[in-house]
Amino acid sequence: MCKINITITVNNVVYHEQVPVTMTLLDFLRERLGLTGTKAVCREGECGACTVILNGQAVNSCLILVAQAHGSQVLTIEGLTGTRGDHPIQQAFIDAGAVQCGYCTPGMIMASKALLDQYPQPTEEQIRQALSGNICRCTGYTKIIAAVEQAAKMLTEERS
Amino acid sequence: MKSFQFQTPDCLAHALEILAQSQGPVRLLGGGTDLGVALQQGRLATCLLLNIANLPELTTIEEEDGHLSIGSSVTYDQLIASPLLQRQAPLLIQAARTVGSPQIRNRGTIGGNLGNASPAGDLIVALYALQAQIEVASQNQTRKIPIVEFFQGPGRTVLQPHEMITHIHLPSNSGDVTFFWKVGLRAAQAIAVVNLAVQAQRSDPEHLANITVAYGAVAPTVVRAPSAEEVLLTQPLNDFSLQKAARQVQRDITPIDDVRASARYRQLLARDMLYYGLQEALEKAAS
Repeated sequence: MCKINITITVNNVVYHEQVPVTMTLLDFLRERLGLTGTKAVCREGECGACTVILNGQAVNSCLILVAQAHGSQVLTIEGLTGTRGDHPIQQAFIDAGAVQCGYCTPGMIMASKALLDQYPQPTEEQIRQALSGNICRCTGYTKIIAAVEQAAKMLTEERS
Repeated sequence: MKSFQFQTPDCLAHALEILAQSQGPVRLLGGGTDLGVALQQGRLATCLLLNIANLPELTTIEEEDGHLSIGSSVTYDQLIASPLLQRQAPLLIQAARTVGSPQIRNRGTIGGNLGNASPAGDLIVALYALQAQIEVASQNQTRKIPIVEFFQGPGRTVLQPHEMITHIHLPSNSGDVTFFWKVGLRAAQAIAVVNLAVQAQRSDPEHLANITVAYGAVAPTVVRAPSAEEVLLTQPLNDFSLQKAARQVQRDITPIDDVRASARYRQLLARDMLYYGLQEALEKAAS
């Protein structure tokens, strides 16, 4: 198996690692760095449970070779913090009842973060679009959408 | 034991050199939203993965000499955000919006949609209607291939082993009657059951000129619908001629039964999409 040296920043920590050429970003995060908050589910870019933010964009980490992420910045669910405890998006998911089994939740939160970073006050339609790559089998999505709306409000208040 | 290799070329010339000199198979890696799936599922034969995602020559969208030039590594998200394309080729943006999900659109590339050569490729359908030319380069030459000559069958293009797509060329200014319509089993992450792109100019309120009608998922490659185009070009526009054009579509398509839909369903759907799509697009153009 061919290996390659990469440098990658994950949650503001710089790593220099030698990785197998075909290792995905998903497996690098989970297996190499022990960051198991990002979930491995479909492994084919359909479910969004593996969503992380790469250079500011929500992506399916299961489809990215970590070699292609050389020199990149990655934010995972573990990297989300708030000024007091949980990040407002995480708190909103809890408060709104948007978490049942929790398996889709990290991916949903990362996709939501990417949305709110770009559109701090999204419409419901924009929220639905932004989460269209994330599947949830438990909640029926209603509370998740409500959580994102609540998070948007909380973040706007925090800023002012 | 498979032994893949990975290389990021410094520039396009370097990539073409690697393609020319490689002993074994080389696969071009853009966003990885198709190749990555194949790799994960064990369907990818051992090869050199050539990382072309960020080659500066391949990530631009420009207007030159009255036509648009799109680099092959431009992502769906970049297409959608481009003010130039919003003005000059909204049909392509309409198609890009229907692909995958936000995560997929942040990575997948226009060159990848072409190279993957799905008979249902959404950008491909729009590019047929836009009469795109595909610029293909090897170390020794470049050639421009009209998109209707680019595909040979499902997953097959005319690309030779040492060649790669570098740019997609479109005429500036799409027509005033345009629409893209994709029917799938869900709103996102769907391979089309039928997709359709139409572009035309309105020469007067009752006539269309330069009409192109392209369908995906109803033949081994994306196809134009010349029988329908003929009706729309030669007859004054009214409900009768729209219905007639829609009925002619069946002459131009050869849908099959597959996991997503039956051939019969696709026949009916393709017909109705042209009729209702055109009706709506004509109304919109009139207002």
